[in-house]
Amino acid sequence: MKQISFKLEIFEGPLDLLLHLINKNKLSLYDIPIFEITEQYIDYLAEMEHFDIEVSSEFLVIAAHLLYIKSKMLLPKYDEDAADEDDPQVELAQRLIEYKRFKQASLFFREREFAGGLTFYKMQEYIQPMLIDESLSQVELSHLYGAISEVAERIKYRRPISNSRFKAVAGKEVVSVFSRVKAILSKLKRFNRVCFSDIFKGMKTKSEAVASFLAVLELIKLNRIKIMKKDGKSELRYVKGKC
Amino acid sequence: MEIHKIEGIIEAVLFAAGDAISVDKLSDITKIDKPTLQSIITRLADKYDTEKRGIKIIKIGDKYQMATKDEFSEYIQKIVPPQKRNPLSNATLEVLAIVAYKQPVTRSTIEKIRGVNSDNSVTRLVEIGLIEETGKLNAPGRPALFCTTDDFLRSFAIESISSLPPIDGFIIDDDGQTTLGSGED
Repeated sequence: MKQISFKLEIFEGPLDLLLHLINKNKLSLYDIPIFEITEQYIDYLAEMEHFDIEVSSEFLVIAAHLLYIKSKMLLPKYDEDAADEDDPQVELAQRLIEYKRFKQASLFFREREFAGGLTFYKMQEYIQPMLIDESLSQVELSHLYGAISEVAERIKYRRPISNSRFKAVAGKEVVSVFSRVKAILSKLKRFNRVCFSDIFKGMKTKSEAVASFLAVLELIKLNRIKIMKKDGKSELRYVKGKC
Repeated sequence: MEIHKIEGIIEAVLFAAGDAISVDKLSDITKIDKPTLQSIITRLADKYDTEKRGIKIIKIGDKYQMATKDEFSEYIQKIVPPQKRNPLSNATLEVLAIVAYKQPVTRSTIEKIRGVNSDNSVTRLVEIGLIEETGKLNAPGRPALFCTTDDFLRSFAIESISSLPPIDGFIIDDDGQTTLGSGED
């Protein structure tokens, strides 16, 4: 069994590994010798497997890409085609340069990682809100005394309210339609016929009159009485056979 | 308004707020246009500096905040015990660098640049509050867009994203080595 005599470095990803190989061989990023690098790259993957390190798919993607570039370089080039196509080798170099820039930018951040640690800040905290005396701020005891005295004075000179003031509200007499129906029927019983206007004779309130009129309408509707015209006057009479 | 009064207002507001306050907000409060206000704040900050005060006014993006000066940290640590955190892994720091320079950026862009899945690092950075999701890219699947936070600027003592050294400044010379930084490995 082959003796393993070197330490296997851990890389952040396939691009990191490629950069390492380029660096190790002191090569230029702008002119990568694809053949050598591909070989070394694949050797490394084999070693990873040897160490039982799972080779993630991302490493294989780049391996495939390297092989693709390699195979492309082996094929004869036709100049008119080549102009149109993006050179995968250039593309790879650009990707490596971009990655390397960020890798180096990360070193810049590494240096500053705890740079702000010596500065102390306060975060937004509870601020005691200002207490504002609202509108009553100018009121003194004497103002209150003056106000209550004024009210007391006004009450003193007020006369008791006369009962007539309440009539419109409390003085209403409820007159039921039913009571008027009874009255009309008893009148008819006595006089057999009653003049329409006589029903309203001697009435004092509006509600009495309204109730009487409604009673007349109700009796007509029930077909108990009818209205006849006689000598230019309306007369109420019993409907025949209904007494 | 007198310049002293404006300085006083800024001082009082920054003290009361504690947290960083945007220039817009300060301009709203003082009714002073932003460029003038910024020069007044700079003047005030210089005053803190020359008068050997314990506090300073720092700029975080387009916001200002009061903070203690670094030289007094050993005394403040006596009342605020330091919080320990392990250094970020190389992978996580690479992701942070990509977000810082390419923001707003999706997970897939990060993955494309690094050539390797970076979801764990993204999650870790969100967890410790150095980056945050700021929206969705209007593209199929509506992937999340990530940006660095104010906390990132504070903890790395960077004034604003625009004050970072240009990414192209990390020069790769002909033999594919050396950079602005102090070397690799």
